Amino acid sequence: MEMLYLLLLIPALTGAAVLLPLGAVWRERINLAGSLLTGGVAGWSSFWALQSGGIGGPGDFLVIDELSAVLVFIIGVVGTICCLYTVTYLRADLKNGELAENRTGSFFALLQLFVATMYLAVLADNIGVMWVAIEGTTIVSALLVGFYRNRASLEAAWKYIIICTVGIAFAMLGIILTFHAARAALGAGEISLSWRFLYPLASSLDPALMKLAFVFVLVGYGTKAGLFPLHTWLPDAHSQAPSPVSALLSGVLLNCAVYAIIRFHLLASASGDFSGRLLVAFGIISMAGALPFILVQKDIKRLLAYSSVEHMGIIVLGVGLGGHLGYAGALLHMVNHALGKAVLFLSAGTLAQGYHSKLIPRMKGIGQLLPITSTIFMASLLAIGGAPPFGLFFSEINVASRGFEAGHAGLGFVFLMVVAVVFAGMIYFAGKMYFSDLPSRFPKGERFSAAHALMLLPVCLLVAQGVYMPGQVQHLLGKVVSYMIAGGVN
Amino acid sequence: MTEILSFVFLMAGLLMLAGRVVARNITLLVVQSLALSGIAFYLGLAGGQVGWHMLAVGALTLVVKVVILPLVLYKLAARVVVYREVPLTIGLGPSLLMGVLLVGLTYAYIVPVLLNEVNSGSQLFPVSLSTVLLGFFFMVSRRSAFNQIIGIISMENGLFLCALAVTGGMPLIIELGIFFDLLVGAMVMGLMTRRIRGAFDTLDTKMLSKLKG
Repeated sequence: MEMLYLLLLIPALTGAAVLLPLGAVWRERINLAGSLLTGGVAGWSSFWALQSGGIGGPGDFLVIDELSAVLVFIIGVVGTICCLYTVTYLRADLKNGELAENRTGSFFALLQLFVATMYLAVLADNIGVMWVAIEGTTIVSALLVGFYRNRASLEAAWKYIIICTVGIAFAMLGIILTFHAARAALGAGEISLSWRFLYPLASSLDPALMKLAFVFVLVGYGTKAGLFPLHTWLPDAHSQAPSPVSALLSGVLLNCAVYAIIRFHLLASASGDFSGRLLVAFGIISMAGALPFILVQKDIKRLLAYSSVEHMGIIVLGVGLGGHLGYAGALLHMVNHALGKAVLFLSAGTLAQGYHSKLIPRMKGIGQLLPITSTIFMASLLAIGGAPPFGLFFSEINVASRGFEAGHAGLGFVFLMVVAVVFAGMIYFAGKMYFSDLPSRFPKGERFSAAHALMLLPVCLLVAQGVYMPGQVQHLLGKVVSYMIAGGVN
Repeated sequence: MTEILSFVFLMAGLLMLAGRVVARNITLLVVQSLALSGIAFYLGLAGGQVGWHMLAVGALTLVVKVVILPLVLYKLAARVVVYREVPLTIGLGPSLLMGVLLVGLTYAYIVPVLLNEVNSGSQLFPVSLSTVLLGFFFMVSRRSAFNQIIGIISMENGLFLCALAVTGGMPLIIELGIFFDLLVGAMVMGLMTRRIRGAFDTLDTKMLSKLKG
């Protein structure tokens, strides 16, 4: 129980400590220590929660159950990797003169604060606190998106904070309606907004009200999750943010918003399959809608951002289809996408730093400029494209088979077609970047460093999961899926 | 009493659409927030016993939205606003007409048809939803980053009134959280408008449209 407070406390204290006037070396050390410690606690508590069926009961401020354990795991792994990688990234930026040295402290501080707000969003038992935390992530990460303070990044940050704040206001309307529906059963106190008190009563909530509430919540958090017609802030913010922040936004923050949608879906699906159908529609629209933007993209980070829109579509689709295969596919895909996309953003960021450009036509001969980074980049690109033996292949197959199983053959067909075309498009761009000659003005080669090891870790996890998934992991995943099928009741 | 206050609340939102002088918009926002805090105080005192929860909400609204935020906004406006009058995407006449239509839509369709389950018959609910829509439209119809902040705060006012009207107020810890978010959010947005002003020499959102595709 007290463990969970550590997940908020350690990043917050680390964030405060890096602001002390200690010098650049100490700032890096504090950031490294704090991130590793948070990651360790996160890993341990998510494992413990999956083993024992949750820490903390109804009425506690912070609770971790099977579903939030998955999210804590994602934030723990991806968040820690991004925070550690930031050290290398900022060194390169300082060398290139993109950033003044006195600003690295505030970068680390904002980054740690960002991680803390995300932990709060997935751990909070109260729907309202969760809303406050998710709005908090917007405020903090908008400052990170606009960190370079040039015209493009300020424009992206402004659009991001305005669109997401307005969007999330609609989610608040949904929460007000949920509170109204829950008051009949639980009274006017805080417990009427507690997930763990609400789930056992889900079927007794007024179905008409819950339908309305779900629509508002889906629009609100869907904006934050970047679902298709609401995604407009996403490519700008992801492409203009410093790369470790892009990786966090895409790999972790989008998942936090999807997590909020899943929680409401579990509540609303008790009284009919309205919410599931809505999720299926949004999912397939997001996939199909992102497709044309992926195929004509010139900016590598924008390409990755639109690919995130597509993958969020896959996850939401899996959740909407439900059932064992749908939930398992969606959960695995959340983890896999987070791992793969984070590495992709980090390696693409390093490449972009090498070329001083994010434009695909300018990034020629990546294999000659940075052999190790570009190998990792190509591997994670194949992973995100959904090629075997990486884990994403299997999670996508799960979702697709659930589509056919549930009798939506057309849906399954469109799904597979979109995935195939996106794969072809991404391989086309990657091929142009890799199989071309480096202009002679660039120096060639690099040495293996800790940053590479950091990026290799998620890639190894993805391969390992695709080749052989241990029985224990399957068992734990099965627990989460049965928790979701039971509608959030242990 | 709530009828009068909610009328003031609604009219403040509507009149914002009719003006393009920045300082006057902030003043209207103050009037709107004052009406909101008045409604909360009234609800707290009107029933037989004293509703401490409502009084706390009223006091918070008074401190945060009537005193602190407007002070921040006035100071910010003096620093960043380039022209006294903001550029528009839609003319003043049409935008006011649009505002009236939005209010009509809420009263005639959204509340009695779409949200009938929640409708308690009081004025507060349709007024709050209209204000959310008006705030949203205010943001769209002005081409100024500064006015988007004003629009967001006005929308939040609507949301707050909606929570009061539908549920008699959210639990206090959540309302504190929302106030905190709003305050920090407005500060951060203010900071950003200063940076945008520095980088672009203007707050015209027409300039903020380079990123596409």
